[in-house]
Amino acid sequence: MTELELLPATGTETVVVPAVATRRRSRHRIISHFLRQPIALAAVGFLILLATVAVFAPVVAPYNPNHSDLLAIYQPPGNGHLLGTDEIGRDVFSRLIFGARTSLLAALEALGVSISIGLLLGLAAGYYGRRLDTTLSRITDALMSVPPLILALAMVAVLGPGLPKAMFAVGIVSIPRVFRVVRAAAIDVRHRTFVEASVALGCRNSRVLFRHILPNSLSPLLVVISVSMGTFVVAEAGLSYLGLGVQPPTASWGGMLAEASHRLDLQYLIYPPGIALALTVAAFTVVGDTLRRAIGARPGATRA
Amino acid sequence: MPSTVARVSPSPLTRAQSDALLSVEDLCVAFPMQRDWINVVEDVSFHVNRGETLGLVGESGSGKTVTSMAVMGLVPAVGGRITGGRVRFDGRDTTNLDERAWLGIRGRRIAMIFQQPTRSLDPAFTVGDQIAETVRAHLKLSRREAWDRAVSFLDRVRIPIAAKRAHDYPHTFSGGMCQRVMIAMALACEPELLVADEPTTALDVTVQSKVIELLQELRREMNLTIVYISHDLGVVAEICDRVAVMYGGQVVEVAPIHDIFERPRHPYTQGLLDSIPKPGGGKRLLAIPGQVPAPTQLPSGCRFHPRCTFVDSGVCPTTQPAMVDFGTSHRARCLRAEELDLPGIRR
Amino acid sequence: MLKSLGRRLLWIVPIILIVTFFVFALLDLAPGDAARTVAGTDADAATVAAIRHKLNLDEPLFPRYVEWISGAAHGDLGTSLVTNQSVAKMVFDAVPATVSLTVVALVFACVFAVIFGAGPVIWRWPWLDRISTAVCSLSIALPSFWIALLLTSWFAVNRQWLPALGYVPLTENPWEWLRHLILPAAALGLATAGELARQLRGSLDDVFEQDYALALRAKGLPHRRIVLKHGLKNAAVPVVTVLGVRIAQLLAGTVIIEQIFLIDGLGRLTVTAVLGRDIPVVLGVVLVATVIVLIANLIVDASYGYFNPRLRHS
Repeated sequence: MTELELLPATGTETVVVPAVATRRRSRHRIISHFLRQPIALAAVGFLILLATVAVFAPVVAPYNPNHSDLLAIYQPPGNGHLLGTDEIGRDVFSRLIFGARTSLLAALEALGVSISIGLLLGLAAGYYGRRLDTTLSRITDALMSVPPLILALAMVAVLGPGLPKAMFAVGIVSIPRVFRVVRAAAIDVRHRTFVEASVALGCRNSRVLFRHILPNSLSPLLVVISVSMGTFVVAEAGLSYLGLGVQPPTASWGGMLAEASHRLDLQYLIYPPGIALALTVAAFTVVGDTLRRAIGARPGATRA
Repeated sequence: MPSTVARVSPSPLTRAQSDALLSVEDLCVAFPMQRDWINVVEDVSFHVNRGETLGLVGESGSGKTVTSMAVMGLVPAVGGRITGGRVRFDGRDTTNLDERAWLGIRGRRIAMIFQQPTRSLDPAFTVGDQIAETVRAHLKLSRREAWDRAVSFLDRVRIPIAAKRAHDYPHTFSGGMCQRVMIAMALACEPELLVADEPTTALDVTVQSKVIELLQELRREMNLTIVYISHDLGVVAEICDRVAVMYGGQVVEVAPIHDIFERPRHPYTQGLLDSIPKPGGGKRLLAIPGQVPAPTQLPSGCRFHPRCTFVDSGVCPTTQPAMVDFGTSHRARCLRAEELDLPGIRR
Repeated sequence: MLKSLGRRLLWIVPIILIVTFFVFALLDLAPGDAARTVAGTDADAATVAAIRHKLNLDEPLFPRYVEWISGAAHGDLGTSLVTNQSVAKMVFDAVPATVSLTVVALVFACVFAVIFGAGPVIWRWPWLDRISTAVCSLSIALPSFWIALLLTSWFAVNRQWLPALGYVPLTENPWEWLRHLILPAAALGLATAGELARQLRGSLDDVFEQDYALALRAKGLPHRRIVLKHGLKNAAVPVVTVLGVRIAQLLAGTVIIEQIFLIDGLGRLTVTAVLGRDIPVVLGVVLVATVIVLIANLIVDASYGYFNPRLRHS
């Protein structure tokens, strides 16, 4: 889906890392890069809207998403139901809104897992180097040879059912991607003069790590975060579709698609969750692409 | 830039031009630069008779390659546009010919070889395949016949063990060998006109002379007409019958090879002659001071005047010179051409 | 060239070991009693004990793993907790369907890539360029299982042009085999198709900036032949690289697609095994899926020599 996925499994990566001194200037450049592209602005706007809707779901949704009106099942759009009703009479629009909440929360959980562990491992591998680096790199490369969803499902089989555990698995499976980017950034920064100076001055390793290396890995990390969020949202939908994610009656876009698959002749049930998914993924991808271009376009940036 | 343009009456050359195999008349070619279309080649005129070899000489940036693109009908392919004048091949106007009509001419009756032979061959296909492909496209031969023809031409350009080498890829050939392959590929359909864009510039000196020897031989055998592009008058002397010197997008002198060397009429030509390195070293190289102007920054009046040793500050910066005739076959674009007595090649 | 292929071949075994050990170890690392997790929270003590016995959970991790992997090396992947069949048989029976689906999806992706990646280069109409870019971006963003549902709804339910479900083996009836695979393969391959098309377009642009592109024009060859014969072969390497990277994702996609279309392949088997917490089958699937990905990547690497002759004897 993105450039980061296109790199061959060699454990190396080209990463652009800004110098510490230009951090504030670089933030302005990123923002101005976004302002110049209308599609990027639209994507950011959409994501903000999505997040707001998810947070204020109970306020925004016209109906209770779990309230089923058995007298009004399979109603097409109209008549007080903006997008119609599903197989047990629940309002599709409200379920769509609450589904946004499910998707974003699930994606955030997976993100948290992959970032926290991936960041730690990547920093360690990049900074301490040598055997630790080789070992970790080989392991993550190996894990990338397994189809991601299959590995995640394997973990689900072992850990047990439920959305939190499933998203934990998805997060773990995504660690290699984070690991690579952070490691490359750490390696690049490690060799810079100011770091060597700090070490020579007697700064402790952890201080160097947190004060210098970590901030410099943030920009490429942002790109990975943005793209991964899109992947996680789809992963949650897929898992919920299969019945391995969210448990009914909780609303989820994937679950709604699963229900829609029982009546494929009723197209109005298929479109809303799919379009919502597609727009969300597209928005995250666009933001990721724009971020990557914004970082790469900066002068004075160095390449690993 | 208002300036006076000296004009001379139409020359008797026009009659000869109509018998020529290739005739370029007042050609202007423009490229998009700085949000506008700027002429990189302006009022270029020359002709090449059948069996003749015309040298097109000038420093890089003089417009030689663009002119060759116009001859091949490839100006749109490189992003340019013909904005004036005309190109005639065998009497036929090819200036605005559509692609379908070009299919019978390009590669079949006019062929081209390029400056960087190793980069001008497709690395993904064997040498024999690339020659056979051209032959099949133009001569309607079967695969077997085309391949045999490819091998025979590889042999003719003196590639050793041609039958085996035809199965090899371009990256296994040296620069000189690649150029031979290109020559074979260009000549396999027995064209009438060969456009050679600096074919020996990127090669070692020893290899250079071998390639030129080969060209001379093939020219004799196949009665080729050649437009030989180069920046090196020394190389041109070996192979060309007539020479057209270009500067800043214009032709500044056209003459038979002997006249160019013994009795040039344009100071730029003299400068080029002076900068030919003499065997045995000796005096330092006399390069012409300054640089070829960019098409967007052309000097006023004569384009060469800022670098000219014979500049007349009264006339040259303000007047654009037109071509002046000297006899039936010698023309020069210089306001002072008649009064200057240039020494020619110094021995 | 051979050296790098050989090296890749050697890495297959360690990678399989790492991956399978990782999943194996999870059983032990996961909180709680592994046997109870597998049996389910509402299982009685007898079931839990039976599972503990079947999975050898009394033994420590390492010997248990060694026993499993040495069995696997001999083709024995244990028996299913649910059906008591040989896991190896279950898994290998599922492979043809998945491989068929993946291959047809790849073919679809390549055809799509040529149409939308090379098409704008062959026919240089400005509107075609813009449409192709839009189509590619769209196909990359759309989730595959949604496309599957849409396609089924349009072509199999509302119009009975293609079958909605099932798989017919190639050996039984080639035409039906293809007919049943069209919709799932299209859904599965669409995202890859968009990626390949984008990469192809970019690579072709690079190719046309090379010296030999102009030389080919000067030879008088028709533009379409230049793009399709010379352009594609020279542009292939980066495109095939993208393909190699996406193989793992394609196989992952089969999980949901096979479920939607009720194709009895590895994907469907994974879901069934996970739902039934059939650990031996899950392990077997992970092993075989990884092997397939590694072999596919090997083939991709080997193909570089064909597309770029300069790599053949380095």
